[in-house]
Amino acid sequence: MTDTFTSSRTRSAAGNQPASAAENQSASRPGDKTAETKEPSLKGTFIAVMLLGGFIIASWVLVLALFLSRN
Amino acid sequence: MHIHRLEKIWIGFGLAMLLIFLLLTGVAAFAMGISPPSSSSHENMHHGKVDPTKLQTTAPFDKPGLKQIGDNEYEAVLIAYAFGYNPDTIDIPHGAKVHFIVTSSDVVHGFEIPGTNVNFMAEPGEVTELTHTFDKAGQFLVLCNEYCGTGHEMMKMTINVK
Ligand SMILES: [Cu+2]
Repeated sequence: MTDTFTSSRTRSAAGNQPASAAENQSASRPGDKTAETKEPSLKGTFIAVMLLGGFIIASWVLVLALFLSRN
Repeated sequence: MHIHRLEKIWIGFGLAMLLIFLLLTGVAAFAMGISPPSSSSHENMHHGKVDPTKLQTTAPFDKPGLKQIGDNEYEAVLIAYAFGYNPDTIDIPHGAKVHFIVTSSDVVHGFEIPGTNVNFMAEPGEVTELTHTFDKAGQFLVLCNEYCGTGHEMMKMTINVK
């Protein structure tokens, strides 16, 4: 997982430099392979979303356990 | 429209969580009968409504107290008022299943046995029902947890489980 992110970041960084005319041309066209690699890394957002989801699940289970223990 | 791979994962995660929670709530409500304390289907009551000014002549509130309805199963008919409960003490045999049937003769009151799931509102005109099994022996305090007036903090009753 980490590898994918590192490589995609490296590739997009390389894509920013006008290395060759062909590469530059393909980068400007939307929806092709090179444009896809340029999308922002959402790793931090993903971790934050999973932490929030984990917190919601833990709270839900905790409240259920409290209810069942008092029944 | 292009959706990021991680975005797809967390959208799926959120949807799955929503579905599981709804499914569990549905199973609890419809298969296990777990529902919030609410309106009664008791005979003589029209969808859990009762006239709070005519409780003395309305069954079952004309005779408040504990009634045995089965094998170690009881009905506790109680009236909350400012500032107490009628009756103010009930004795329950150990392990008994008790159906609380509670209303108020004046304002909104609470009915809570601390440390248990018995915690609901007693409202004038409405009949609240809740079933609880008393597995532990001892003396239980019932408190009003809805502010109802100047004597609110004195409002309590006792349940003896022996
Ligand atoms: Cu009260």
